[in-house]
Amino acid sequence: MTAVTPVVTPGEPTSEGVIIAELCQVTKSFGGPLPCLHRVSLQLRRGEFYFLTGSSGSGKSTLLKLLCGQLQPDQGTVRLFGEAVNPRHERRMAQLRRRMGVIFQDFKLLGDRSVAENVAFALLVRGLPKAEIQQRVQTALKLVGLSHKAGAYPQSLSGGEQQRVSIARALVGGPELLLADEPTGNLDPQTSQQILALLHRLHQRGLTVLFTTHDLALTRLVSHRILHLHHGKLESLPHP
Amino acid sequence: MANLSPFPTLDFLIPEVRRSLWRGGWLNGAAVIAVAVTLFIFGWGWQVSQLLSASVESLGNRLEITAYVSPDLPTAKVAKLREELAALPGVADFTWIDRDRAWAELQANLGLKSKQGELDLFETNPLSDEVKIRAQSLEQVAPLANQIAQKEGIESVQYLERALTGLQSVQRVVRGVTLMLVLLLSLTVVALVSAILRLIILVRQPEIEIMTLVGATQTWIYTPLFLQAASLGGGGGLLAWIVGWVSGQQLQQWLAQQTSFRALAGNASLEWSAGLGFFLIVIGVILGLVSTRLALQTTVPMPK
Ligand SMILES: Nc1ncnc2c1ncn2[C@@H]1O[C@H](COP(=O)(O)OP(=O)(O)OP(=O)(O)O)[C@@H](O)[C@H]1O
Ligand SMILES: [Mg+2]
Repeated sequence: MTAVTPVVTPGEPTSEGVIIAELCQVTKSFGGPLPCLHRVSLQLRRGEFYFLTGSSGSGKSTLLKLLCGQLQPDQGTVRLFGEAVNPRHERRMAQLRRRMGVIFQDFKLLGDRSVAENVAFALLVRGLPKAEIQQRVQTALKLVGLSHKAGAYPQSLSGGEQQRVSIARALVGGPELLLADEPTGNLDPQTSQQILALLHRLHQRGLTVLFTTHDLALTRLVSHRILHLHHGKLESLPHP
Repeated sequence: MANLSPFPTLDFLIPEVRRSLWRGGWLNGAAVIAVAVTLFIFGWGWQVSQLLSASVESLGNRLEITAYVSPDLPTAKVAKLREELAALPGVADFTWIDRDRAWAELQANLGLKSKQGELDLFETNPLSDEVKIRAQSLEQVAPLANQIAQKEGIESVQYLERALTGLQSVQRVVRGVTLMLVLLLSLTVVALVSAILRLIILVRQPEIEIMTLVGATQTWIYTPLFLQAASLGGGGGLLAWIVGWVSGQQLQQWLAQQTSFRALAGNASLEWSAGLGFFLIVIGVILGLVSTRLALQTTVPMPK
């Protein structure tokens, strides 16, 4: 593998932070012979940056979906911001979701809305005033370098551009926790590094990040904790 | 940012409802027409029922029992009969027409002045004392007439009961049929509209998922749907009223030329009032909301 020069200086990982999200002995199966995740426990501490690696199909996305309440565990509990997640308390769930941003691997953009509307949507459903929404959307699009595409529709964007819209939407609400599922999966190495640098900068300003990738080169660019999924189990890899 | 308005803002609702209506396409039209047909039938049922009420009313004013007193009844008994008749239950109004006065009036009316030397048509007063009694309600007419007929000194009793009760039973049938029809149609409409909404919800499932994941509450997600259904229902009500109003006008014009109708219903109006329009719109809105509730109950998936 070619050596890549780090684009950002590694931050000092501190293990003192409060636990912001947690999986306790979580098992999730999709009916196959082996569960996708088996008794996985994970604690994300406030202010940390975590890489989550693992081969394709190892359950990275599943783990993230469990954390954001998109999926429910078969066994075990999920805790967010110190609170056990109960999908039946949908109001409470919505409030917890407003405190985090999720970058979906499949983007989840609305095809009949422009880029700006897609990003604004996350704020609109929270009832923010129009002026504030507009301002935040502009900032978020600038962050991901898509200001010039604000009026475009997702179908007319490249995969990488769609991905950056998804990133902008995850960030626009000013989340405390960012769950990023392959946020650089569709980007060229250079843009990937820019996005990583962006998330790293936000992390330095206090954002907690869980960053899923199978691009091990990326994990070498910045020195952060690496969690590795293998056969339904979570392992902690040493810093590279 | 965590604790914001539980109810959707207009900034959110107006574009969402517009978008949803736009995407519903012809399904919206189907819903509006279904509601309109139901409410149109309801409206006409209501109008005809009102018309029959008016007819019954106007005949009811003429509703009285006429009893003829036997001319042979001794004067002492006549006074007793008067008292008894007046005391009968269910009597609203009571008029005794003295035979002598009636005879004089009749003669005056007919120009049958009984002057000396002229030919008298009748040598004696051919009339009997007459009692006109109005019952308090239609139901009481027949029993009251029976009671009167059994009094001593009453020769015969006449009343206009049959036509009226006929009219009343027609009114009852119209009401019943309208109600049945409207109930059945309402059920159909609710089933149809909720099926349409279910379809919309299914089509919008990805969008609903995204809304949920970015932190929208169910209230926010589904209020636009309720509003959409309410506006479709209200639109159906309005359409029913407009078509009803036009058809009412047409019918009214035609009936104005029919003398039998004028005789029956007097100046009863077939015009669909603004009040009826408002009522139909409200029912339409309610049908829409009920349909949405039903659609949600059967579609919204619980998280797995
Ligand atoms: N909804 C589902 N129904 C059935 N199986 C599923 C579902 N979601 C995930 N799986 C299975 O669970 C396993 C893990 O999937 P997951 O998407 O979490 O993998 P991943 O690590 O994110 O892979 P990738 O790197 O390709 O994104 C896969 O074998 C997948 O087939
Ligand atoms: Mg994945």
